[in-house]
Amino acid sequence: MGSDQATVNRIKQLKAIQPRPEFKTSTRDFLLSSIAPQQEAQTKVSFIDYSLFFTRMFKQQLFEPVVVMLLVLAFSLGSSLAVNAAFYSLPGEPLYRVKIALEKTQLQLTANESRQAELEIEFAHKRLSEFNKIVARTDVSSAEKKEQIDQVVREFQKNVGAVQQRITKIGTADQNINATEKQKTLQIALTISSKTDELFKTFDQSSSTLDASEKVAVESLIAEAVETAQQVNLSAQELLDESAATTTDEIITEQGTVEGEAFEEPGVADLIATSTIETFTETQAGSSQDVETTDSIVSED
Amino acid sequence: MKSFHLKEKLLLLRLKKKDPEAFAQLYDLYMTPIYRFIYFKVPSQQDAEDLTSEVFLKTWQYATQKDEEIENLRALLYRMARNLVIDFYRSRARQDWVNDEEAALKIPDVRQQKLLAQIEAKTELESLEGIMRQMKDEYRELLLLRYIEELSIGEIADVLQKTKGSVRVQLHRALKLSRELLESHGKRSSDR
Repeated sequence: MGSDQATVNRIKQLKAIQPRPEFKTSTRDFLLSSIAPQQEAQTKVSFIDYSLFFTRMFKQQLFEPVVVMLLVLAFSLGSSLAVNAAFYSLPGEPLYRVKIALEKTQLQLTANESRQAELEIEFAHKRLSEFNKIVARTDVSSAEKKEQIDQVVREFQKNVGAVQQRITKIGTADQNINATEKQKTLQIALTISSKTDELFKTFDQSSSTLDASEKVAVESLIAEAVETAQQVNLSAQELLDESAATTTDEIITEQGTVEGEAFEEPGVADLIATSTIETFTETQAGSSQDVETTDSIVSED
Repeated sequence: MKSFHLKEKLLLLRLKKKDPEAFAQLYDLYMTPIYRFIYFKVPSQQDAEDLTSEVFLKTWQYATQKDEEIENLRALLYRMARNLVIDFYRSRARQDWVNDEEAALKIPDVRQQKLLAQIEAKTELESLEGIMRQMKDEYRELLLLRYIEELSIGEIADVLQKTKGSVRVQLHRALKLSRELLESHGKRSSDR
């Protein structure tokens, strides 16, 4: 490399080769006199010429690879920032529509029905956290708050409604699918059941923190949303019960054919058993609560 | 470099409007490099001077009469010089053909003789010039454009109508050859 530089330096010495000064001057004069007849046709460079020239230069600069790369970078950075900002937006904010549109796109890009149902539940959760944020807000008027709650509850209902539809669809398709698929569907139904349960509880708790006037304004809406969530929970439970019945029949049939062989696939049976136990415990807890309440009413009397 | 391009573009704009002052500026700016470029391609100084003058006249005609967009004025000047040198050898070959069929090959011979004389020359500049002339034209013009006239690889590719990649490869070979020639010349000088 060093010797390359030395060679280059030696080549550069050839810069010393110059034309004769007298040739330089005489040729200049000769050339200028040669073009003299054309000078009459000379036109001045106008303002328009200059503006056109600078516009063209600007365009060329704009399409230079570095500039294009910078623009692409700025665009991608800007859009990722916008997506990020949209992620934290609340109803009534300009980017909220972007957030909803992004969620819809995500759903469209998901081919699996079960995954779609899970996504809808996730989105419903997001609506719930948005609802909590709106309820906690103090910087907006009651009218604005009502409008925002209205929007978020409607979106929540849409999400939950979609879950309901998907559960029905999964239930119908469930008839002709194999054991692994069945197990998967059951797991989803279980998740949905527990999540919707969680959803309407949170909704109920959050709405209790609203002012009396605010509560009156959004009460029917919230009641409707809670009802939808409960409906979804019921559908999920029904699906679970149906699957439990089918699976029990299958187990009995299997036991009849392969006697003495241990049931090695615990997934479905375990899931149903756990779910049934959980539901039973919850019901029992609920009834003991009811008994206590009745007792206290009686003693008060 | 950017301001240089802008200056050149503005010069071209004025040239298109047949501004003689712009032409004088163009001449002052590029006369020496164009002369040097031609100088290494032709056998005599007289030929180099004649062709240099013709390059500027042709450029004026091209810029004022043609409506075609000129992207790079400097590259255009070098291309013009290159084409005129080719025409020069063609016309010389035709003239010589009338007298002697073998005369068409005379130019390299003349150059070869001149080269031997130059290699033996005492001054560094003359020996360097001799070494440059010893190289094939393709390599010589690459070294000249890159290291003496300091054109970018892109501009050289534009002048020689080659790809940037091929310019880089050939430039590397040319530099290697020139280093070898310089080393062998140095050895010979020290032996003497």
